[in-house]
Amino acid sequence: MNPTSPPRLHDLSARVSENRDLGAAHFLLTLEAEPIVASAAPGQFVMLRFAGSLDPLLPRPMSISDVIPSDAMHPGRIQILHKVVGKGTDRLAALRPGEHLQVLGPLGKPFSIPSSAAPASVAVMVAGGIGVAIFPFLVPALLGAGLKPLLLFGSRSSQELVRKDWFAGQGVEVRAATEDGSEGTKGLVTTLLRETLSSPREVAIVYACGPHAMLKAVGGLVMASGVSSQLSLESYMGCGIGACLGCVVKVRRESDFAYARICVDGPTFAASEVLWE
Amino acid sequence: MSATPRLEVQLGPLKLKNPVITASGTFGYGTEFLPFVDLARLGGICVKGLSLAPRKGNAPPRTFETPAGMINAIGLANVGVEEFVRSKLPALRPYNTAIIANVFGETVEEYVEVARIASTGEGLSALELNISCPNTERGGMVFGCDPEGTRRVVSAVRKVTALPLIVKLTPNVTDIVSIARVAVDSGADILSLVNTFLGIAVDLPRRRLVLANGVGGVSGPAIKPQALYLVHRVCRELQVPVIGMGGIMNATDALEFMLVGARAVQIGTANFIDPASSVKILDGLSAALERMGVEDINEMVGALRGAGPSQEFST
Repeated sequence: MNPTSPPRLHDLSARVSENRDLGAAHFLLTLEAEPIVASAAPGQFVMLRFAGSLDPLLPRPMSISDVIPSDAMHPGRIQILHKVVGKGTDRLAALRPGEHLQVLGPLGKPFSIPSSAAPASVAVMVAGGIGVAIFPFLVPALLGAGLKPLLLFGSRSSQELVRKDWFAGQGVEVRAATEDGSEGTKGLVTTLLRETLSSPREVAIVYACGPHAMLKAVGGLVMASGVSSQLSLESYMGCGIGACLGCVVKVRRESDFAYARICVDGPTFAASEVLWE
Repeated sequence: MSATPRLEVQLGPLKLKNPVITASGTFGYGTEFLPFVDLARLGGICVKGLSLAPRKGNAPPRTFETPAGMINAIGLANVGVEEFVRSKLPALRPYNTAIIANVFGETVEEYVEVARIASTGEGLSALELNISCPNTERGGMVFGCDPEGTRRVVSAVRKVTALPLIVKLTPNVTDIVSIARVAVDSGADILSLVNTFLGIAVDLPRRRLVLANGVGGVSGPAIKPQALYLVHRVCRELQVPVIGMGGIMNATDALEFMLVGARAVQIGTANFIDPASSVKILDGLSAALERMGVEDINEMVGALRGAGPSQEFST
């Protein structure tokens, strides 16, 4: 018996087809996950886990960085761009082709794409560090909607501007900001966003993914400018499917507030929804 | 070749088709798991703890991973007992499984009112009383940490519900047996143990406690030995049916709890790691019993043979 129709989720053992070292502790992991490719949309994520592992115990939420449709040689694949920051990512970095990883997804609310933007208006992607991982999958959708993608990419140094050239190769205008000034503007990525929003260019929408403090600053800027926005939030997660209530963010609810679950109510939120602490 | 092992268990007034129950707070209101679990296969579902009024819960961060475990301070966020009876319970009713409402309060009166309202819900199989909450009328003393608090809340709830009453014990006590005995003497039909162990996580670079609430509850495989010990103690001392829990990840873990005396088990943190854990453990139980040539799972309950190495030869 099945009174409510469940969302199309898959929990599968995915074969690693490639795990490319991009330098500066960044890795691009490619996993064979045909059913997820078939149902994923930009902005969604997967939970990755090592079957039987007690430490790390919990699955790790990771943005679906990109999808590669099936071809004669391979089933459909998903790509995970990550940076080694702890136990979980350390083990991800050590994966070799042919090994398997458990993948649950696709999860979460996708990015929305403006359907009636002015011709050739700009879709801004604001990336803070590894937050850039979420954007490759979005690029073709923006181009397909007739938008002009602009990536504002902030990091500590030029070494961490991973996949910058990939974006440029896809026809994305890329502007960088580094904290040490080793590339692009010296300073924070929000400086670039402020310039963009005050320029005469028509901005249709701002997407952002990065550290909490960056998202908060981006939220402030887009709210002040009245541009619509899609922020992708991150959090430690227990389950990824809305059951543990661990990954919440404070959001506006009429005159009050509520805690929304980042995993199922997000991770995509409009800046106007979030109540920043 | 033996037949499929019998899995039905009887816990006082509560009959379950098998001993696998999903633990409160780890399985939402059940329907979150529909993509992964045929709910009708489960022995029972313990829903997210219910209070009289809806609760938003604590500020984030609420969860953090610890070695072989996790620590959480969700803050008992829930839709409230009335909304549960109105919308969540009807969604679960079509599935042929025991639906158990986990309830809590901050005063005895609140416990009573929540239990009374929950008991009006059609299709409910049992109440599970979470007594690990601070009593706001007694300076925040946790009900279940004090024999008198336990007696007051259990006996008051007993008067307002005809449903099988499960009392869920906290491990954060000096002598769990004395609390267990008071719970039984006050009207508990069944005991479930253990709830999470109090713990904290420290963020060294920032010199702060990780969770916004500071303290949280530790769960997962890290607490299994401690939980087994407490279940073993209670089962040795009292004749009451016990539901064991604490870090159960697979059928072997579940059978260990049953060997030390539990008649059923709850699966908690495992649901977060693999959402199909509960049914996988159920399948694993059947397979393990068949392998051992055990025809009825009740033969495993309390069937511990002793301590230390066996004197039998095994070649």
